[in-house]
Amino acid sequence: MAKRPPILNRVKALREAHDGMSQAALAKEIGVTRQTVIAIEQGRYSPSLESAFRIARVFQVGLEDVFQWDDTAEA
Amino acid sequence: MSFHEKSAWIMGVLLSLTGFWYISQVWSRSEALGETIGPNIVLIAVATGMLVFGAIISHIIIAASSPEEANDAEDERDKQVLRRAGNISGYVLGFGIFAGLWHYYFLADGNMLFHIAVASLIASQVAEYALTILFYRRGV
Repeated sequence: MAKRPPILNRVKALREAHDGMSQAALAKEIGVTRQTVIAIEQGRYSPSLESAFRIARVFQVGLEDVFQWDDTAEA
Repeated sequence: MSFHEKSAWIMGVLLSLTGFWYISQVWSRSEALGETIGPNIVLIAVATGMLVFGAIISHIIIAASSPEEANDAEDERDKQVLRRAGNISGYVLGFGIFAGLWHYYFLADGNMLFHIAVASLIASQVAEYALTILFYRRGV
């Protein structure tokens, strides 16, 4: 069974704070499909390092402002 | 649901149906004959024709219902999902072929070896579609 990655993210919050940017618009900016953005927001998929940097650059924040390691998931 | 996931659903269902039809035909004809029938190119051609026809029609329908998604290239998640599903389904094919070879070693039934190989191909492909859907839904 696929395991949920131990990484939290604030993509949805940042997207909404970014003039309510749509999932489709963010997907186009970072070069993935809208379904992949949905999967990232729901924590079902951890993006590649390149896509993670692209997301952070879209919102003009640091990588750790978008993605955080979930310490509780390791326990 | 992405275009790739819809495609996996359709192909999984179509291949299950055509595969079941093909195997049931081989089974019933073998029972009637009293031994395993030989490879039948007509049966394979009909099954392949049904599969290709169904796949073309259904893909035209899902592409027409969401043309933008149909034009999407595979992204990093798609590639990861398809690679992992393909990897695991390869074990299904390998197991089936291995079982077929041992069956041939002990019983020397070449016709049965052929049918086991075809059934293994169908099973591994159905497994690949099922795993693709699972990984899209549950995460890679």
